Amino acid sequence: MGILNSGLGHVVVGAALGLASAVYSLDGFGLKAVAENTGWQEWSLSPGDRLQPYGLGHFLSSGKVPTPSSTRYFVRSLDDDGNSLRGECIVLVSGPTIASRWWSISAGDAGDVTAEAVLSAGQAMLEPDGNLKVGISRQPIAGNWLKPDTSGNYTLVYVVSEPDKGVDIKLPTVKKGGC
Amino acid sequence: MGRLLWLITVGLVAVATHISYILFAPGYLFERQIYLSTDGKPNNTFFVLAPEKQAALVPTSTAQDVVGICKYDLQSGHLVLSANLPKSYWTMSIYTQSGKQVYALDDVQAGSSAISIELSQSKSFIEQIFSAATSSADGEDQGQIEDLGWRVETTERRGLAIVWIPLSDQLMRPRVESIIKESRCAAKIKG
Repeated sequence: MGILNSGLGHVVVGAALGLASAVYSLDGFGLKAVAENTGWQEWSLSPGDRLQPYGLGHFLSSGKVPTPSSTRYFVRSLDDDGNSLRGECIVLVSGPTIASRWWSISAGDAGDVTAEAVLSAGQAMLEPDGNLKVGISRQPIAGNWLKPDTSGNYTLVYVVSEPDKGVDIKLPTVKKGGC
Repeated sequence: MGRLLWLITVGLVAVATHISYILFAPGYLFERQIYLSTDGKPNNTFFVLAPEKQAALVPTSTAQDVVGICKYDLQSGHLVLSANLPKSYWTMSIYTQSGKQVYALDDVQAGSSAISIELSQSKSFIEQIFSAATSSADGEDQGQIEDLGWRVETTERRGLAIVWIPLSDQLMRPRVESIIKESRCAAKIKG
């Protein structure tokens, strides 16, 4: 108790607070919402962004290379109604695809997903109107199907590599279909 | 008054620790993780990552893509990365050890499936002043790399060059892997 009242104690407490807040903030402080109320988020990696050190730190501290400047990397862990994305439920992702050189959607822990949990531009079947519909479920679904690795919570990651210049980024909706 | 002073001390130490950790710790953690992800492979060699490791290192990739990397260290001078690539979509990104992207290239920009990039460390302000004085006298380094494709300067001595080739079918991986394995990453031979 005595040491906490000493000068050294105050320094230790300050360092512990700073360390804890830094570790905590790397987990989500660098995330910013994309457009209005879409539920999708993106890590701040632009050099001029004041949250960039947190976004960059998030990737580096988890041993991942930051996404290249030509690539958009969208993430979300909630559906459009604010419920957690869970593997035991059916989730429907639908909307227009973004004109780009390449894209992929995955359901799982980022960087740790099986091939069944990833759908990419070369594999997807588009609707006649050009829209994309993907069913996410542990059980097989007709059409584009993603099987999450877990029955628990997962993250949806939408990678768009080199989107066409000037294109309007419209992200797909994410609805829960039933559990 | 004394208590207020100590509260301010706690606050200042907390802010200093927070900022220091955010700015410096991720880089050290990243370097350690790179070593583990690449099974301790030596610097300045090009190799293709195993499918189960590439998605963990390069978040835009999936297990069916092909990712080739070169951990560079410019301690002994310039490095030449000669990449052999398929005639499909690919991207090459060069990062410093602290995660800063210093260069990007793709198949359309390159216009070729065989590219060569010379990588060197940019000079510090002091070095620039001295080299300006000496190079004007002997013209050294000028025009020595004209036969090479691209020249990139990085602000840090160490980092990563990453080639990512997204594939729509896992069955394409062996063929693409055999093409990219021809790539080389080695110190420039002074001629």
